Amino acid sequence: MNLDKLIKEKKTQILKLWILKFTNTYPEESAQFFRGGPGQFANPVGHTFRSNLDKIFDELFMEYDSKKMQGLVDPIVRIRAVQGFDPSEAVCFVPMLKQSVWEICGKEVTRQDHISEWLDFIERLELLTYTSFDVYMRCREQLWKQKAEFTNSRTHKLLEKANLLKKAGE
Amino acid sequence: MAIQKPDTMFKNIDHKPPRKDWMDVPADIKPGRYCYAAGPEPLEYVGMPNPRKWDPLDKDWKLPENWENTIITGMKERLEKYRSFKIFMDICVRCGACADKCHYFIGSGDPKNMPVLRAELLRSIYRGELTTAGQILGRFAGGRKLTEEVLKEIWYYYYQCSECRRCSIFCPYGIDQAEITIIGRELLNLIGLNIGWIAQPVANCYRTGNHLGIQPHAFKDMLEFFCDDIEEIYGIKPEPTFNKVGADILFVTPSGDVFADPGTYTCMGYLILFHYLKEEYGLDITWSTYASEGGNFGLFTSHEMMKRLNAKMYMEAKRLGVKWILGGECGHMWRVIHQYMDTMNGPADFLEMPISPITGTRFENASSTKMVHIVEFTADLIKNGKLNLNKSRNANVRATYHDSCNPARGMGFFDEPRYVLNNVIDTFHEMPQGTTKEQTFCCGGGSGLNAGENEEIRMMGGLPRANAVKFVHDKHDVNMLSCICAIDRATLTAMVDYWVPGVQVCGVHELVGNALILPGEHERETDLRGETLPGKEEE
Repeated sequence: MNLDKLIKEKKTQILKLWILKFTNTYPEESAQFFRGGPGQFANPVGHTFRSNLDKIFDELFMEYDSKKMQGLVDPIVRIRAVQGFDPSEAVCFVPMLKQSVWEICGKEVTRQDHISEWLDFIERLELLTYTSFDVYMRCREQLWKQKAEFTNSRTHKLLEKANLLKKAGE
Repeated sequence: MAIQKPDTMFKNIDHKPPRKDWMDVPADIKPGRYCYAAGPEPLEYVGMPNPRKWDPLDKDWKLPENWENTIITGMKERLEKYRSFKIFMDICVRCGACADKCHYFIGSGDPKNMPVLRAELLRSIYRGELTTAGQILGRFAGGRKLTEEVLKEIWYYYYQCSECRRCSIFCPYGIDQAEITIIGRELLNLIGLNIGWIAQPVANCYRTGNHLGIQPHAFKDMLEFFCDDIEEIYGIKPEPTFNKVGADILFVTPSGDVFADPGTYTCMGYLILFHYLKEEYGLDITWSTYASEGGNFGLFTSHEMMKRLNAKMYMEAKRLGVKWILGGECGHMWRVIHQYMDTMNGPADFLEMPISPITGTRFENASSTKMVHIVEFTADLIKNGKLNLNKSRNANVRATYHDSCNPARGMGFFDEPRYVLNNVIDTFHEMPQGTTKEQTFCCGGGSGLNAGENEEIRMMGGLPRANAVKFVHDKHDVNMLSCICAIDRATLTAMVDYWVPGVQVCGVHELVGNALILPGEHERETDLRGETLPGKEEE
């Protein structure tokens, strides 16, 4: 059996472990809520994590579509980007998938000599890491842009109010 | 090269927080989650204690001598004075029904933002310092002593509660965390622990009349500037009156409508409506440049301050000799009017029972406060066929409605805004059940927390609301989030920009202003935002 097939077969176990590891970056009470609290609208963080990690898992075994992958990564990273995590912590779900797959399938990888396939899988995860950092940076830049624009617009309004601006042609 | 096992590779990286009892986890004051402290000037202006320069990130908060005693005595006094506070301190059984209902907890995952735990921060002091069981058994009875570290924790988390009251509707005992936060902040203010974005507006409202400290002439200039804009769009210039003695009605709105986009378009909506009512029915509504703020930042400071600021509107109504007061689209102004005004400054016997001079409707609900919500007033006008409306001018708008916490949970104000919306727009979609009406989610910036420096906590707190907006945006292509609160309009704008790009924020009266046909107006090309109306695009 090739490695991809093996990983896909163990999806339920891997996904469960992956979500557990990722939600464990929060304090115990919150981790429990994000893992199990019901509702798309009552628990948006938990719902986004659970549903998008699931979809990212599937997407890893399809033909690489960077736009689609960004769309799946964005909601997770967008949340992490405002939760006060360091950048590496914000995107730590990627190495956590590697850990989870290894913990569930590691023995098989070694025993069945799937090293080259494992390297191929790791390469896909590296692409996922790059995508996650791109999204993270975009989110943080957006937040700072909002702040900068707010300050600029306030300053401009004050100058306008004080009649200190004269447009060309006036 | 052999591949290193992930276990080995990541052995030094552990993102899991240590498991400890909540009392043993000290508050880590993080930038992005707290607001800057107030400087001495605004406190001195209104005579509040311990004015000084201080920084929450410093070790020394420059507390007054004997501060522990001030807090404990203050708590004792309030336990005797406010029966609600006493009950809320005693009856919680920690069932956890509220735990996952706070938008700040849902968005941040910080357990101390669970309402039960936020209350417990103060409740543990009550037990540890003021109950016999707590004094003897300490932590076993859920009590602890008031230390500087505990005080800092209370300050940090009591300024991460927007007093939205969502948790209270899930509590089987009806414990209202907002009431606990209000008293918690009142206690903190006894020793000069505050935030600048509340203290400065309080002083400004008290002195100048509005939270930014805009002086009367500038306030008037700004409204006249809007009238010029309206003239460009409609060909008709409204002529509002200011401080007019003997006018029929005094209009008070949050000053955010006058100075901050997109509230400014809501303000233009008011001006258009009032002009229409004057031309068609001779109704004389005046604006005050002194009571130029509806928002009551005193509510976030102390009961006393809330009373002082609320009194200004009534004193102005008395001075001008109007019949009654019409209130704009505001959040906490309405909480104060509906829930506190009557026993603080009321009943306003010097004013008349509010009756719409146009429809004859008696606003019985306002018979004591004498203050009517503009959305209720407009809904009544529409219901009685008194407004000439053209929905097609809002044809570009596919709206949803955010129930602003204070009018929704504080007043049960659900149907009137929807009625008005359905009469001025064609396309309206409700957000999913559990996120609207009494279960509405806070914008994330209520109760004085819409400062610039705490953007991260606002974004986290705004996530549950944004998530529901995103749903209707994705499903129905909704492009407008309407609401009836100035803080919402300011906070939600940045919030949707981050979470749901493609959605704008507006007040209900902006859409009324767009739809209203003014007698003698010229053919309109744009809406109030200057955007081209459907069918008017250049070929």
